[in-house]
Amino acid sequence: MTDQVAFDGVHKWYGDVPVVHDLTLGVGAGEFLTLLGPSGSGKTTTLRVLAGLEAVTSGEIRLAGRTITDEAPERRNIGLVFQNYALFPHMTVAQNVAFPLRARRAAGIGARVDRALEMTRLTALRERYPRQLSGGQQQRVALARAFVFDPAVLLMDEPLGALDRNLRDHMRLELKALQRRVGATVVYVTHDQEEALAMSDRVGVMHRGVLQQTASPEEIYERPVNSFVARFLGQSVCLPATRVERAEHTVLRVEGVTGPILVDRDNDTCEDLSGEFMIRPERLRIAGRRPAPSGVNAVRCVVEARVYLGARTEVRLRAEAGAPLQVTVPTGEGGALTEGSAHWLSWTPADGRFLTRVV
Amino acid sequence: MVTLVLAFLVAPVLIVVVESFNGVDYLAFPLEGWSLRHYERFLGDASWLEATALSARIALVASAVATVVGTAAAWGLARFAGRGRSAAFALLYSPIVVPVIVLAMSYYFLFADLRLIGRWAAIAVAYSVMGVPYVLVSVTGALQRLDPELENAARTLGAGIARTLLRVTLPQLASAVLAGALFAFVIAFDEAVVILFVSGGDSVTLARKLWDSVRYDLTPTLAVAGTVLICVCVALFLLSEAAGALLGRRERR
Amino acid sequence: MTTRTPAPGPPRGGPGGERRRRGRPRLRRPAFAAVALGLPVAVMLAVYAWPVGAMLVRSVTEPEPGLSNLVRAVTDPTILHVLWVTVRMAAEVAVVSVLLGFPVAYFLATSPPRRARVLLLLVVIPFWTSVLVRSFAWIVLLGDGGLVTRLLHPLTGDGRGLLYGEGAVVVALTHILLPFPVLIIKAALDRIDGSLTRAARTLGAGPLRAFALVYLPLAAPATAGGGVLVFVIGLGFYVTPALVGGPKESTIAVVIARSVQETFDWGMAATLATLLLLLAVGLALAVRRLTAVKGAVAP
Ligand SMILES: Nc1ncnc2c1ncn2[C@@H]1O[C@H](COP(=O)(O)OP(=O)(O)OP(=O)(O)O)[C@@H](O)[C@H]1O
Ligand SMILES: [Mg+2]
Repeated sequence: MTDQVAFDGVHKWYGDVPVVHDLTLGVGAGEFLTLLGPSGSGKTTTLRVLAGLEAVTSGEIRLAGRTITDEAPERRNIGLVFQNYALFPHMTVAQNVAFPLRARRAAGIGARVDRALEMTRLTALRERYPRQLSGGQQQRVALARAFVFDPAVLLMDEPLGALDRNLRDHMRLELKALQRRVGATVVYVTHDQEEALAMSDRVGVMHRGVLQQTASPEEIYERPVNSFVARFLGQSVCLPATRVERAEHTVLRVEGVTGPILVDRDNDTCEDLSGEFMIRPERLRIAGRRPAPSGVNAVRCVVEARVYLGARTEVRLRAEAGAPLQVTVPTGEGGALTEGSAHWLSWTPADGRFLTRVV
Repeated sequence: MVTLVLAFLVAPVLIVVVESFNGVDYLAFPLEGWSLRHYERFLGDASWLEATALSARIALVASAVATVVGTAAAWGLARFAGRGRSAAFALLYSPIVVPVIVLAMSYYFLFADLRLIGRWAAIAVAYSVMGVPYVLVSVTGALQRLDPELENAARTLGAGIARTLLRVTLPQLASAVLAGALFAFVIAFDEAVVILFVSGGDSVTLARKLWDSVRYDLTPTLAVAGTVLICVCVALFLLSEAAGALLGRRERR
Repeated sequence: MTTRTPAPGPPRGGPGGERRRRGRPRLRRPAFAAVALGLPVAVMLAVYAWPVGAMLVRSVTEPEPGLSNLVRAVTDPTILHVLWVTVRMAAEVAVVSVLLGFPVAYFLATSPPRRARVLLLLVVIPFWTSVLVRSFAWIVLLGDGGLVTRLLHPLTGDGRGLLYGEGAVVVALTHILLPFPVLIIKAALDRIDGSLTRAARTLGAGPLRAFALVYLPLAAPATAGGGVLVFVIGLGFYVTPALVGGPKESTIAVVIARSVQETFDWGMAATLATLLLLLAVGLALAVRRLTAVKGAVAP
């Protein structure tokens, strides 16, 4: 498969501060790829480098097989939806959307603008100025303007960040539907992991300028490559651990837990002897007494606190040897988990993972 | 107290206007009868009209040059982050600080060396220097309120630099550019110091002619010329206010 | 699946390291911005910095190279007297302007916006009116038999006007320069958050204390800045002193003009202009520090 977008060993420095480090990444045609990461991890910089608004420090960028590393932004044919939308305040909705076509002296501008406005349900608002639009409407104008000229790739920088929760959920569906209809290749940036998991074909997690892992939503949630990715996506229990033995299973010594912990060999991706043991709370089973011992990990612990979260209740526990643990139970169940009560947590070696530590 | 101070500010201006309707041939206040005779005299005297036309011509050119230079510089300063930025700012802004008499002498020496004394175009260029800081300040203020991401957006949408500046940046700076241009025009239109040094006998602007008559004959025709100056400048000021409000509303939409 | 080791640091050799510093993008914004700034700078160097620079050079080369002009300027009693008169009059104008300007600015800043806009016209219209015309107005008002002279007659007891005296220069210059401090101080007062004084009131300060402790300190830099600006402009003013002042009130600017046009003592003129320029630039820098607003001078 030839990639629609390819980063090849791209570095970006601001002065002597590295902001993007050795980025190598391919995005297939028609793929929806999301970059996810904490604030300051280099997501926006990656998009800006791709769009040509910042020059790379080294490395190469290709778009549809053409090297665009040194090309001016207006020659790249990339649609970018800015975080603050950057709509031209002195132009109407229709003029904003027509702008890229005018700049290209394209044919049939009127019809193409009409179609883009229709697809984003903006036809009735075409003569309005940006300031007369709501946030969601402005967002749709920015989107229409960015895809009306059939760019080779559509970049979106937290396009839903400024919207309220309900509108965000709604726009998410619309955006995804639109992307399917147009068949656009999309690189999307967000803070919101739920958004990332729900919309993307693949998710890339960035941290301190380094792309940690790129994989499908399921894979990246179930099989994070290191403790940073595990912690960043969803809830997780992560405990410092050392590998004692690597045989049929990996045998771990986990800090704050008495007795050895078993992990499937396939789940041991740690590059060092010491790393982090990780398990998702929903994989933990809770019982009043010690489960049957064979091949099952079990830890005795005491309930420390309960956090009511509406549909679910989060229960914080502490192992006898001191390790903090947690489980999540549907609200209404787990009535026995009163503060101070003792229980057994258990899980199979297939549920836990041993990961390289990255903080 | 405030009323008195405001009256102190406005009264002398009004008095010049009133004086222009004087009915006698010498300066007198309060007036001794009303008449339009000094207007007739002003309009009948080709030298006053020529002086007015010359002032307008010089101011127009000076304002145009100052506007182009000042606007380009404001944009450059806003987008240029390299070395020499503050030196460039100092150079462009400093004419506002330099005493006019110093500028007058500098241009006198320069024009004398280059045999430019009395050339209206050279005078216009000298005046444009005095207008540049005002355009710079006005446009810089507008640029600071402008989202720099708009230019980036235009670029990614396929517009080159020229198109971006013309279609995206400039329309949003229009009222600030206009305000700067008008101010530069007014400065050049009634400038009265440099001209005393560089007009020679050939380039008698309205201000130069006014100066000569204030110095040597003090007639009420002077008040007419003064009224013309006041009216032109105040009209331009009101125009800039109105245009600013109008364009500002469009920009803010 | 792509995995990266989490070591953000300088690229250590490798393909990335080798390719660092490769091809720079062509005409990108920084380069274009440099051109956009460079052309105006080139123009200003040619038509502004050059003549002013040449004038400065003249002060130490004419009639012969050296500091003879400077020595003459600081030893000649008439010139020292002129300097003293100039500084004194500029200071008087600055003080009077601030004293008159602050209440007006305060009044404008605290008026309802609509009324403030109209009243502001009364400040701005004179500001836009030719200096020459305004000086002329004062000649009419202050001359023998002028309105002010006659109004003052009961006080002064004679019919002689103030015209061609220091009083006339100070009055006319104050009138001409007053809009500067009014506009600058008003701009600063507009930025003072009204809730600050209200907060001070709720914290138990009386209206006068609130004004003195909260409002004045916030307004002080702009007020001082306005005063210094008037002083600087006043130092170099030519038209008004020349028209309404007498021979005793010759200012530096008047002497400079006379040296150029009448006595042809160009070296001395250039030296005095240099002194004036240095003073003006130095004080202007001080103003900038005080007000920290670049645009404060523009209306
Ligand atoms: N123009 C610049 N000059 C210097 N450093 C910069 C510049 N722009 C960004 N940075 C730095 O680069 C790093 C990455 O910034 P970037 O905007 O790419 O982060 P991000 O992942 O988009 O964060 P966020 O989620 O907050 O938007 C940050 O540490 C930031 O401070
Ligand atoms: Mg960002």
